[in-house]
Amino acid sequence: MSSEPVIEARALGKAYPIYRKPEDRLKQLLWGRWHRYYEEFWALRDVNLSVGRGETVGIIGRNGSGKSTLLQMICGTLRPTAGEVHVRGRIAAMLELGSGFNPQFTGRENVRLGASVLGLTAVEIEARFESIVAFAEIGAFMDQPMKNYSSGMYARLAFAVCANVDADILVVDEILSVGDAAFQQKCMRFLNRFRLHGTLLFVSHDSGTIVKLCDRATWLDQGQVRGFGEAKEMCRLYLAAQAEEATHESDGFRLGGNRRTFAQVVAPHNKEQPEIGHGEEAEADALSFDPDEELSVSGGAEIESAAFHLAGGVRLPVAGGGEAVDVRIVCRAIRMVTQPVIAFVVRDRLGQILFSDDTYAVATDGVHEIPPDESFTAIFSFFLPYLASGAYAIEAFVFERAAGAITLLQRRQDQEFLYVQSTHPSNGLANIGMRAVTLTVVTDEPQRSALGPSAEAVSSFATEAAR
Amino acid sequence: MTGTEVVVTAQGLGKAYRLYPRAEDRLKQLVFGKRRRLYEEFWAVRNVTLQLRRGEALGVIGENGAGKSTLLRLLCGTTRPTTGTAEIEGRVAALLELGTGFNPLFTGRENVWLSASVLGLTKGQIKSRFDAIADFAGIGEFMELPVRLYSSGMKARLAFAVSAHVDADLMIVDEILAVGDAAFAQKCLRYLDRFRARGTLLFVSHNTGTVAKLCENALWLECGEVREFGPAGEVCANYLTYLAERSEAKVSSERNAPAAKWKVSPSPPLVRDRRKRTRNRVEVSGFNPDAPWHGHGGALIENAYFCGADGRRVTQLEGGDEMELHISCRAYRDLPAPIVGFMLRDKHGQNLFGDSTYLACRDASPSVAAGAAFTAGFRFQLPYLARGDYSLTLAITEGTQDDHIHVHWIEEAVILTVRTSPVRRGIFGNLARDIHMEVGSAAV
Repeated sequence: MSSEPVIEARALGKAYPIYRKPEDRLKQLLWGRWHRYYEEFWALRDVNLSVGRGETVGIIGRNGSGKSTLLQMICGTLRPTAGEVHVRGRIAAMLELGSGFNPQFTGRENVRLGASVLGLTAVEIEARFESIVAFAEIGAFMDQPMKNYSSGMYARLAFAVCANVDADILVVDEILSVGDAAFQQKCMRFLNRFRLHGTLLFVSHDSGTIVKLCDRATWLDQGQVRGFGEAKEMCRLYLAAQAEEATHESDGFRLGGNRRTFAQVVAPHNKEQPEIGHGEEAEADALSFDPDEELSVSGGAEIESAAFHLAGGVRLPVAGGGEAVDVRIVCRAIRMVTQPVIAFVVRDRLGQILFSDDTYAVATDGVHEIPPDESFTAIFSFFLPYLASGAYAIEAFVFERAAGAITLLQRRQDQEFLYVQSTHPSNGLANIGMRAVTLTVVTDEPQRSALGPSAEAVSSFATEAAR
Repeated sequence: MTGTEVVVTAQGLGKAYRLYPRAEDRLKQLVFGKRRRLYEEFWAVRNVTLQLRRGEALGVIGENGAGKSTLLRLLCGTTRPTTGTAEIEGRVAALLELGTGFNPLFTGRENVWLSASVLGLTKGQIKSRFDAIADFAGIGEFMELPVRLYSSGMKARLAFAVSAHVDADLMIVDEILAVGDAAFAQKCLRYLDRFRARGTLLFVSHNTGTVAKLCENALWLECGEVREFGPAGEVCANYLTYLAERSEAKVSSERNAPAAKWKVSPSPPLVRDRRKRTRNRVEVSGFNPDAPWHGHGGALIENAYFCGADGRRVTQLEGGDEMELHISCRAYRDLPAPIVGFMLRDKHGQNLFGDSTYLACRDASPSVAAGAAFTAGFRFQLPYLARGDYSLTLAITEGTQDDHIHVHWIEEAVILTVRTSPVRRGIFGNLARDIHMEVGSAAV
């Protein structure tokens, strides 16, 4: 963690006057010096926050908990009533409130406006204009007044501007919840790259996104900080608070237990086990490359398609989960290719890799030397996990293994998606099919058993999944 | 039952915007417009004809910019159509783009009065319903503050709360659920589900799952025109198929095979990956009853452990093996239909996979008397896991999958440590049934 915080809030608070009667407003104006005619409502109170350079901090809380108010004050679009906030560096915000767009102006005009507010010179804006337009992808609407935009289009344009202004700090409000799948992939790729060097403040009520993206999180509730710490722990407390709300008061609700770190649970001497590359890890049967890097390609082959098919059959653009599938990757050699290796990765909506595979350790009889213009195909057959609903990106790679070295010939990304309409009720990233699920009541008090005399399991409800 | 009564009629509805290449053309058009046309027309919605009867629910889907929002605005009359007509019978509560209809300078309270009276409620009615509206919105003291200070989530809450209390005949809901938090979205969906019994619903969403669940019919808009109209499940599936195929068609000249219909898949059979790979050793800790927990405590999870294929308890697992997770519980109150579930999480707390007894047992859910013990078993093939620490979250709940009360919810109750793994990239290792390469493009 960096020594110098880039965002620092001390005892930050925002109060609004609440006038119970309209005439009180006038009275306050006239005699406000001597008497107070309003009540104070603190939308946010006594918030301390320190975010270091390069950190990603999440803000979680229900609607009306003060998340937006806090962000607005950090961005300087709202003046605090109490305390102070210091920000070091250029801050770009994707906020729904005070985003700086004027609804009467066209998208084009607002891009210039928004970018110059963020400190870009006219020349800089001109130079980046095309990439902003390309990022937003809203076509002819660029020349429409923004009041005619849908919220999705609005979000696209706001994100496009923020992504192109070289911000040091990026503040992202729940804006990512609007917009379609392809755009979300693009935003996440940008955010994941940005996180490597920039500071990100991220607001969401989706704890899954918070734990994935954030190191630490602040939990706001009714304008006050209920907790600040490890993102996972804050999300747990937030979830528990929601569960409490759903529970009838008469049932009672309790919270307990102690968190131990993983290190406390796992026997320490076991931690000294060999790292990757030693012991049983056979380096020889692994293809190592990092798909999250910008990899350079040498271009000896083309990847013509990379798609999911039903096993041995037709293309599968929409899956439910659990299907027997083939990932087919078809390549074409441009020059003579020796011992090609084909790999793929599947990414979720947050851009993280769920699973991947390659042909490195597979016997490739007859696919040693591919003459120019010849096609070659890799087929990976497996059962698709029960993925959560959404769009998944498929990325493909083709390598050449010649003279003991591995060279990347081509990479193909952003071209193909697998859409999943989940048939699994759970909300894991990649659920697995259960082979059997049982719920059994064990009655060990025969006098209480109304169902039968057996002291054994009286009622067993087992559902053996088909097949 | 007046099931045949038509509530919404749109006939050849269209909206064109004028695009001026240069700003000054707008003025020129005003002055010299009779002789020349300096603008290009952009049709946001074109030639939409539809009819909606009482009690029907219609979902509208389509990409950003397809004209969904414009169509709704045309239907409820906030935008004037360029062509065609739209007619609505009865009282309409429209939840369009956030907070339209609210005056940003007025307080939430004032806006409730304003919009409820615009929607035709009498003073007495508003007075008697105000508390219910405020309660449904759940925004507390913000009610007394100007709406301009609201976040989109708060606006959505207030707007929905008003609409839910004005005895609307037709509700128009546009994406609004996307901005509310999970608890509020649940509340709204529950309300809409009930509303469908008496009223007509027009619903716009990116979430085709919600559309398919909530609506009988769906309308798919593409570039302002109706691409498809029909049963919601079918239209949603075709829409998703189209999205997938379009992203492929951009680069591939290959002809696409007809889309496969999605279906509920049975549990997959046991898979053996025949490659010689690094072993995937997983150590399992004992159950920690003192791990962080919450709930009303009507039943408690007392133990959780894994058994191998032979039914014996194990503390070492191997990725790719079949095993069973046992969760032992005891009831302290009568539980009519408990649900037991688990979730495997990574060290960041991200959900990887899990399941519950709800679906498997809902048709014959055992009721558990106070004092009785009950156990849940989950048999599955452990996927290959990447190196690192994982935890099991275990839970007993009551209710249904989507709407439940936590009886006992315990996190990080069992820790799994993966020491060695064949997984190089990603979270899961792929359990391949087969991998092969061949020369040629392998046409099927």
